[in-house]
Amino acid sequence: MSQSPSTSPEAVPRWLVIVGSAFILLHLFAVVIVVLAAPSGPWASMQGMSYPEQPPQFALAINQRTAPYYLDPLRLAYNFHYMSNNPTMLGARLEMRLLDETGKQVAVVRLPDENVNFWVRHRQRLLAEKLATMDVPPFQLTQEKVYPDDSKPPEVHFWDEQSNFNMALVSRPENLAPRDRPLSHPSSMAMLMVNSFARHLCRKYKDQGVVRVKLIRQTQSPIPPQVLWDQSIPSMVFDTQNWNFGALPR
Amino acid sequence: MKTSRVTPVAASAPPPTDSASGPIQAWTRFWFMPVDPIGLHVVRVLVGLLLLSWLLPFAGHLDDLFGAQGWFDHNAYLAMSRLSEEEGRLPVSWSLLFVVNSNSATLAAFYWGTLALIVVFTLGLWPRLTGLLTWVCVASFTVNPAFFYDGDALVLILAFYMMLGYLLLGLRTAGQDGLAGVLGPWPGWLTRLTDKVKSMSRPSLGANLALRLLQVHFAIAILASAFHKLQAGTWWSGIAFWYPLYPPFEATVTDLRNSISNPQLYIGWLSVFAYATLAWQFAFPVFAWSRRWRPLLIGGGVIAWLGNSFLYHLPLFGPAIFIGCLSYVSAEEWRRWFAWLSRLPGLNRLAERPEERALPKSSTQEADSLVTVGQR
Repeated sequence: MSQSPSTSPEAVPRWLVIVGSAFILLHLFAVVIVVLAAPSGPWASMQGMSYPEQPPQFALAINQRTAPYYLDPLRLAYNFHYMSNNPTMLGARLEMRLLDETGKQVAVVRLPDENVNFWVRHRQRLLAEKLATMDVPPFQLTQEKVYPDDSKPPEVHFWDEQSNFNMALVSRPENLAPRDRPLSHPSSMAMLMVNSFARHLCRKYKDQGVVRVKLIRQTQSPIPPQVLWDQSIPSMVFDTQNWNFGALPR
Repeated sequence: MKTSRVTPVAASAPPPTDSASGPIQAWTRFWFMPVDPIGLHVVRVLVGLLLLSWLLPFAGHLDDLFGAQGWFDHNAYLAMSRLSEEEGRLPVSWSLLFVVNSNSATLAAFYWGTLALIVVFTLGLWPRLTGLLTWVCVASFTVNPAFFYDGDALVLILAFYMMLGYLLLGLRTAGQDGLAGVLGPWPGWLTRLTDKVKSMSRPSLGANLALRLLQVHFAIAILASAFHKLQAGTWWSGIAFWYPLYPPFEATVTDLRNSISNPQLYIGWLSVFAYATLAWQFAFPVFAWSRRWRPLLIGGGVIAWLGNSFLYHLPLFGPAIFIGCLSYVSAEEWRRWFAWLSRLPGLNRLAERPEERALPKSSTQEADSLVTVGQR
């Protein structure tokens, strides 16, 4: 034990040792349970896609009781699954085109912004990267559904490839959505974030008549070291991909 | 003010626990041994500096980052509260920002007030109160999608245990007047001037408990992160450091092919560093508490700092890990390092006080075995 003993532990009342020990054990138990209750992976699946695996049920069940009432209020409910542990994350940045009433482009705002200091740019980069990881896992529509004439089919939102490396978020009635390929779309949280970004920019540039924001997420796959010895991998694989969220209202 | 009368422990403590077995004694010694709180003070100063460097750069961007009309606005928080975890809801609970961020002036006042508070806490003034408020304010600034990253989690852990340490430091010490009892003991540098309450440098159970909790929590973090790394194939294949070296939007395939002449050797070295990192993390709980392995602990902390700052471009994560590593350094080691540093020109103020040096060793040991009457 490296902490230098300065006085005897016998000086501490026994009741304090018992109460303190109980607190220490419960506290550290909650900390460990948060770690165990984190999903693992993503692991490869039979379908060829990678999915995260569920955490052990006992840890999940305990964590659902300990985290909301103890670690969350103390801001200690972190599972230490650091983002930087997975270095193959997509690079991401946002381009936001500010439009006036007539649809004319007034200005362009980028996240991260090269003109702000390193620490703020880092935070902006985190916002953009978070948005890039918030698409729902790909799903495939298989069943053909027929709706009665008097009922409207629900709308399905999905990323549609408009041209090479250019995707747009489109909406179709469910019975008209493509069934020949897996579909994906931004999660509710991602849509909540982009709408918030748009509102923020419309407020900030109100004087310039900005009423809409065309938001484009740009991503780029990381380049693996295999390109060094496999000359057949074309460099265009790593070109920037554009994901157009459309013109978002204020 | 009450007089601080002291009595020997032997007279006041319960009889030795002969019945206690080895592990129980070891447990009690580990968690409940009052120690010289110098380690807590050093970590406090470093955490304070880290918090200042974390918050200060946002000075010109308060409304964008923290305002109710900012990037993540009031409506977004409301909408997020209605989402489920499966829909990606972020773990946002309480924050004082929700009270002040609807107005730029109150937000700025809160921000600058927090910075002033951190300065006061770093200096060790009224630490029981300022430690608590510092943690409350720091936690308040982290309710934002831009503040849910690795380094922020470590900063919150550091701030929490500093708060806990100073809430408990000197709590059982007799002789503190009402104000000192609420605000906390006076810092050593101030007591030298005033020669009043010296509880800031007395052996403290609270200091030990807070540092031990920080150490164990930090070891769990390092180990959990190591296991998480093994869920990524890039760590198994040893190419994990390749990707931050050549990040998207900066590196191009053509440049890489032209600049790296011996890929086998280069990737080979990267894999050695990746596996060394994994080995350091998995072995961390084994060497972190051992004085013999101190160079490995501190050296690893320094490399983690430099690597995270320059390789991953993470400004907060590296220093937080380094401070976490320093929390394992014992009071005796700190005293020895300060004594060594005090020999350098201009640093003689770090030397122990003359009256402490003049104290015979037996007196020091006797003083160590004393507790105040108020402890009983």
